[in-house]
Amino acid sequence: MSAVDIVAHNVSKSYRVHRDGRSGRGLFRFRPAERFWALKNVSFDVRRGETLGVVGPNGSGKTTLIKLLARITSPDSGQITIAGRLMSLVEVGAGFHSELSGRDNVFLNAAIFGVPVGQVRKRFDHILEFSGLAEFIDAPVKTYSSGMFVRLGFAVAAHLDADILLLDEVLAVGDLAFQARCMDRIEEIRRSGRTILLVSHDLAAVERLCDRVLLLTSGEVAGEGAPSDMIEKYQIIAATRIPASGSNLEGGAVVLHGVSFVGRDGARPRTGDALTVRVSYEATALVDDAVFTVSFIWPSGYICTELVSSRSTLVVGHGCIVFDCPMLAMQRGLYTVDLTVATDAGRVLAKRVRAAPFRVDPGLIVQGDFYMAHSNRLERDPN
Amino acid sequence: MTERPTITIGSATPVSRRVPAGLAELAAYRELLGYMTVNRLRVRYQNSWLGWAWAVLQPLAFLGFLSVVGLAVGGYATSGIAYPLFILASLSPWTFFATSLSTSAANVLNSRSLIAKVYFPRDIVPFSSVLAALADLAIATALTMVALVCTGHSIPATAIELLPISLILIVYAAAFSLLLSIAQIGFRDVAIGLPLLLQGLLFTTPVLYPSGAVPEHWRAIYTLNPLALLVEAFRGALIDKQTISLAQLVYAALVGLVLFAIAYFAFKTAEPTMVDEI
Repeated sequence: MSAVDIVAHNVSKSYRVHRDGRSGRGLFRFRPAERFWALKNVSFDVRRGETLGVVGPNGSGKTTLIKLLARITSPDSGQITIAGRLMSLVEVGAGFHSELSGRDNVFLNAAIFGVPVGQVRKRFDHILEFSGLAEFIDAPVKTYSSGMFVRLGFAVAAHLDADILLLDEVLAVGDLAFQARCMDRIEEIRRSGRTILLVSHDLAAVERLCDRVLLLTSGEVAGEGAPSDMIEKYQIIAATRIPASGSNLEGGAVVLHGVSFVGRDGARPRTGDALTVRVSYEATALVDDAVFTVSFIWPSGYICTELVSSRSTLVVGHGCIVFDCPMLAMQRGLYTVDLTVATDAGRVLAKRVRAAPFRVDPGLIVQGDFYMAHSNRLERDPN
Repeated sequence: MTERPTITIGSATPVSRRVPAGLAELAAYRELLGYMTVNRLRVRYQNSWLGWAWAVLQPLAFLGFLSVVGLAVGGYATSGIAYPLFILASLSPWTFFATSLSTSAANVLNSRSLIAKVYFPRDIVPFSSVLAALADLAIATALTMVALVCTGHSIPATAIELLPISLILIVYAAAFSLLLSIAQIGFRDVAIGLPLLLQGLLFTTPVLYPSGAVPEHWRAIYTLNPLALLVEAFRGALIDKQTISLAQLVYAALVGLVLFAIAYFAFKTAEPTMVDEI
């Protein structure tokens, strides 16, 4: 099917900025408003049944884009055409009234989206079951925990048949079990042929759920294409914006100068290839039990893996510790690297958090997080 | 596949279509209008100890105060009706008008989080405020009728006139609520100045005195105020002493409709980006 559900053409949106916190108006004071351009000439389209991911750093215009699509506000120029009934989840539980019960809120929420009461009645049991809030449904939602709030909000949005679903950061909330159910439900909605626009910082979810990804930076389209390509592009942009950390530790007997990564034959590091990591240092005193650690951190902040040196004796002067890895198992993507040097007993001599980005180019392609070295053979059962 | 509705965002609705398109959309969202109205009432009373009794208690208490004041001060010649009832009959429509305006203005700001996160026709916020105030008017009017019967009067046949009069009153309340709602987004002064404006209106409207108390040479200007006509007509219908002519009511209705059209047009023009300024 080649039908297109959303067409955005040269969409721009600006906001008035009040730099000093006061409005520009006043009886004895008038300044021309300064404008901040949240979106600049953004064009894209979303085909019917497609799941489009939107990624970008904070302030890149993702939420503004969603707000325009959801008709919450209007663009300064440009046009968006939407074919089909659209339901937006800009914030889970948006439109809930805290004094009303969960049940009343389900109907109120549906009415806000223009869904007839009859349809909600039919779906109510599904909504209730999905939310898992059966015993609290008649309590006012102000007594709900934030998790309960979110569960109810997502349950409503995910069970009212919209042609197009806009989801903004909805996966970032709720516990793991609920997130998993959200993912499954989105997958289900997706399979039923409906169009989804998903905004998320959860890049793994974007990669898993989306057919195509739109990358926004500073209000402009920086790229559009396959999820893995766009996510990688985004990670490279994001890495340049990572600030130097304040939690560095210096002043010990060792100064860490930097780290370099070299792949096979001087090429860039690739999955499956050999890798050499060199950490340069300067010792200002004799250290006879230094242990170097190079930690690779996923964009999510979790540690992916680390290289740990054997106990070494450092004499005063400059030097380098070299790690030779016969095969780089990490998947393509962008990681950050922390460097630490400590004594054998664990006393940290120097530490550099986010010392450098580490980019792995695609090499051996596998699904998942790691390439696991393997061979295989066929065994026949003896007859 | 069924025919899908197609909407275009970013091109303003043509000027000539703005009011009809807005009203058509409002009709499509009537369920939400109903919900919001009921919720406003519910939320107001459900957590209070007296609950819905407040809706009756407020006009009743006021009636009590007026009785005391009436006894002490004497009051105006009130065409054979006890002073407190005479006042209550005009105070309820006035209160409806004033409450509509002040709650609309407050609710637009209070609904910021809702307006910022979902789309719905924004006029539902002032309209539901007006309708919630209308419920109070109905209760107060019913109470006035009960009080009339208790004091030995009968409910006059002219009470049926209350319906068209209320209808015109609603048009006015809605028009001013719409105007205030958009005005205060740009100028927060509106919310501050509104009580002052209402005070001024209260004294130029025959609420606390009969319009007969206005000096003859001011009468012509005085009756140009449609609100004065409506309040006087409302009271007249309740106590069977109608002093307002049909022509005057038609005048009020026409002015009201023109005002409403202007206000609705202005609201619909400001609506698409009003969220940015709230």
